[in-house]
Amino acid sequence: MKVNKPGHFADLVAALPDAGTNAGALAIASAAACGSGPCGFVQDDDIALIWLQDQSQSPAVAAYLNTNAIALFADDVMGGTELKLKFNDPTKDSRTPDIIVQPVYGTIYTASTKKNAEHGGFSFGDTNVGLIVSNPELRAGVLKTPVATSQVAPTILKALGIDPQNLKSVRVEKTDVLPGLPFVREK
Amino acid sequence: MKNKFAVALAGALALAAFVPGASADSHINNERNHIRHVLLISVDGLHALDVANFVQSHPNSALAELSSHALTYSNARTPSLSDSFPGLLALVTGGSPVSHGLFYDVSYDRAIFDPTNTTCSGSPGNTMVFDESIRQRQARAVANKSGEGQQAGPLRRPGRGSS
Repeated sequence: MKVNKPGHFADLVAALPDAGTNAGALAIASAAACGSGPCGFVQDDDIALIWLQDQSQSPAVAAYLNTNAIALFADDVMGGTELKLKFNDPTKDSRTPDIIVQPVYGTIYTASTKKNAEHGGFSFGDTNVGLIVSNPELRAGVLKTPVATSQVAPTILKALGIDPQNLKSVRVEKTDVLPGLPFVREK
Repeated sequence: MKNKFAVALAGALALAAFVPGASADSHINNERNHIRHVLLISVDGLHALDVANFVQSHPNSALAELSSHALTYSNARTPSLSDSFPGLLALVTGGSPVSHGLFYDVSYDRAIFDPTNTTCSGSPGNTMVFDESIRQRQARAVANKSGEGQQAGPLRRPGRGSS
């Protein structure tokens, strides 16, 4: 997979022909230029996270990014209802970004010349991490069942005889233990 | 006395070793305190494919040895953002930003004030540094007060991201 490093996300937006006049583009530029205080933030990598100063601009920003998806190497622009499928409502949760941009596979929004790989986003290559649980009494086996790495924490606690419900995230997200392990099996 | 143990290895993050304590029963079971120690090894950026390829090409490696008595989850995913910081948090909190609220090492919070705004005047909202780089950022800011970044707050409050 060839890596594409087109530059920082906000710089790509600023280079669009109507970036100086479009309200959505101006909102991104304002957030990217914010040094400190309540003026927003743009974080990028092989994902772009946008916190807007004026959250009511979110639909305009999402529309603008979708319109320019090809020039921005954007595969998916998450905002509004789509973002709320996976995350808390940004108008109610102070830390959730207003917009999340998943770039086309292989894209890293960076000006770095050294970086040749990255992980941070939602792509399969980013998220399909190695996970093995080893114990001398286990037989070697491979389980292709989809699991999440967040299941590691409650699995460890359960194995140690500690109630996984002690973890707030386990309570909130109902995170289950990893399947197929004899020493964490539910009775 | 058996020295049983368990390891979990998760990729763009982790390996866990489960280390049970002594037991009269040679079978692994879910009895309380059967496993006494767990070693969690997190390898940043390690894909499922990296594990499979490495174990195959390095049959005498430590990873191959662990795999020879391990359950490998070849279709594991990070629950959300896959960067190192939220990735590690997934392993140790059991959740995603939905519950732990941390999206990136350098992030933003609409409910906090810039640490230099000691009277909390105006509207809240500021970039927020969660990782260890906050010390370097603050040291830089202190040494170069007019430069980018912020002066160190007494409670090491959020600083300014530069990446």
